[in-house]
Amino acid sequence: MNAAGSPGDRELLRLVGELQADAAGSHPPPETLVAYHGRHLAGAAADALQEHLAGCPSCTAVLLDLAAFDDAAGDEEAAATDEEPSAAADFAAAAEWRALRGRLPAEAAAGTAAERPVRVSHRPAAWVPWAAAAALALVAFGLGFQVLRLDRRADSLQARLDTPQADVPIVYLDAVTRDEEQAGDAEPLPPDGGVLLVVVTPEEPEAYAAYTLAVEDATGARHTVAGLHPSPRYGTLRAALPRDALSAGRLAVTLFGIDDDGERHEVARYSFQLAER
Amino acid sequence: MQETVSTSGAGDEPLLLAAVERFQRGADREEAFRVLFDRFRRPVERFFARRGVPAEDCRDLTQETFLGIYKGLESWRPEARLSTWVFKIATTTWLKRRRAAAAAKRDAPEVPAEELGDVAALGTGGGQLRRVLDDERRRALRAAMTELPDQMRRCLTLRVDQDLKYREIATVMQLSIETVKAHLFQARKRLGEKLADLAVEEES
Repeated sequence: MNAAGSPGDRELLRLVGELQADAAGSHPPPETLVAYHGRHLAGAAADALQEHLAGCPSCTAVLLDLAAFDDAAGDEEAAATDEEPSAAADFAAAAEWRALRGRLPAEAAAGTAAERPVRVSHRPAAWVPWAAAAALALVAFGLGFQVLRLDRRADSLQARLDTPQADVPIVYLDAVTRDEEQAGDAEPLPPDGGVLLVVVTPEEPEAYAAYTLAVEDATGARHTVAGLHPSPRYGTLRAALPRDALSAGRLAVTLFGIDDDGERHEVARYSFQLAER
Repeated sequence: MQETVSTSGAGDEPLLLAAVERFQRGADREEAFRVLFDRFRRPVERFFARRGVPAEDCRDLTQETFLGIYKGLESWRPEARLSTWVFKIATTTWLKRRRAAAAAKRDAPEVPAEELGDVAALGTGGGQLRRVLDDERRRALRAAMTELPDQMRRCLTLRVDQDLKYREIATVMQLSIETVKAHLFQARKRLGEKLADLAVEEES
């Protein structure tokens, strides 16, 4: 992404213009911003643009984008200086790549044509296709029913989580040994329809790609929140617990790491107290 | 399955073009695409973060962008730089999301004013006095900032108002990080002295 004059500039200017038009307020022409990025602007013009940038987050964002897309070295430096630590960054990148890979068209996931195994043709008996079709229909029906059920449950939980709540109570937990209990005052139960946000920080957040948090109350009732991913920046895990999954009294929390084979491993235990409001 | 591919370093355009060429030939497409992913993941994710998108949505939009790149890479021709093309797809993804969000907002039911009573009530009570004091302090700070040298004031404004990091301020102001640090150190020192003087004047 060079300054005005090189091939592809018209496209770049159009993009910068679109981003500026998307933001409120008046902005310098895209040519000025791109020229400044290419260090082709000096003196009073550069001074005026810097003054505008100091008060204009959207033009500043565009300028930082130009630098980030253009400069791999600068980008790496950014990663090393003020983004997540490199191990956590690699971990986050690998997790995002896995997620993206799963969404790529099938040919990518299957590899190139040369790598695909040669298909050997075996003529099946006449009844095999009918039996296979019947079995598939049964499995599809069962799966469909299950998906519908899970979907409804997710919708209802999401609706609860989306319910406006003036102040979401947050509990930050420290790991405890099996025999000790966390000190501190009891947290009030959230109001009906509300949630309680539990924040934990495993010692080595990057040890697992995903985590599950299990909360058990004094009566033995258990609520599990699965599919938690550590924050790349802080290594924290945040689980929103719906009010109707909680009861007053002491709650025991167990954090499990989920390995690549889907196996659960206990990572830490926590404990806290909830009181009626 | 290999998990990491090293792609960093200045002037990586030839490496990227080689990956595109491998992709278009159909040779080891996934690995070739991974090279582009590793190079542009961060800029794309930050592109959305800078526009106030929450982290979780940033990851979604980044994935949308890379799916767009994957679909278009087959027919991409090096008429512009690859980075410009990736920037274009990120921009398109962002503008599409913005339009969808705006349409959803238009379609949302209106909330009667009386239901906003609780929100209005937040502005009253014990917090009021603190807010007035904060406003006064902020005004005094703004007034003191106008007296700083231009470059120093701009660095401080970018830090305070836009919450930029030293490196980002250096990029925006086209200065070295050391100069930015020195400007901010001096600015804090001068403002500290200035505001301390104001406090003494108020007391007397």
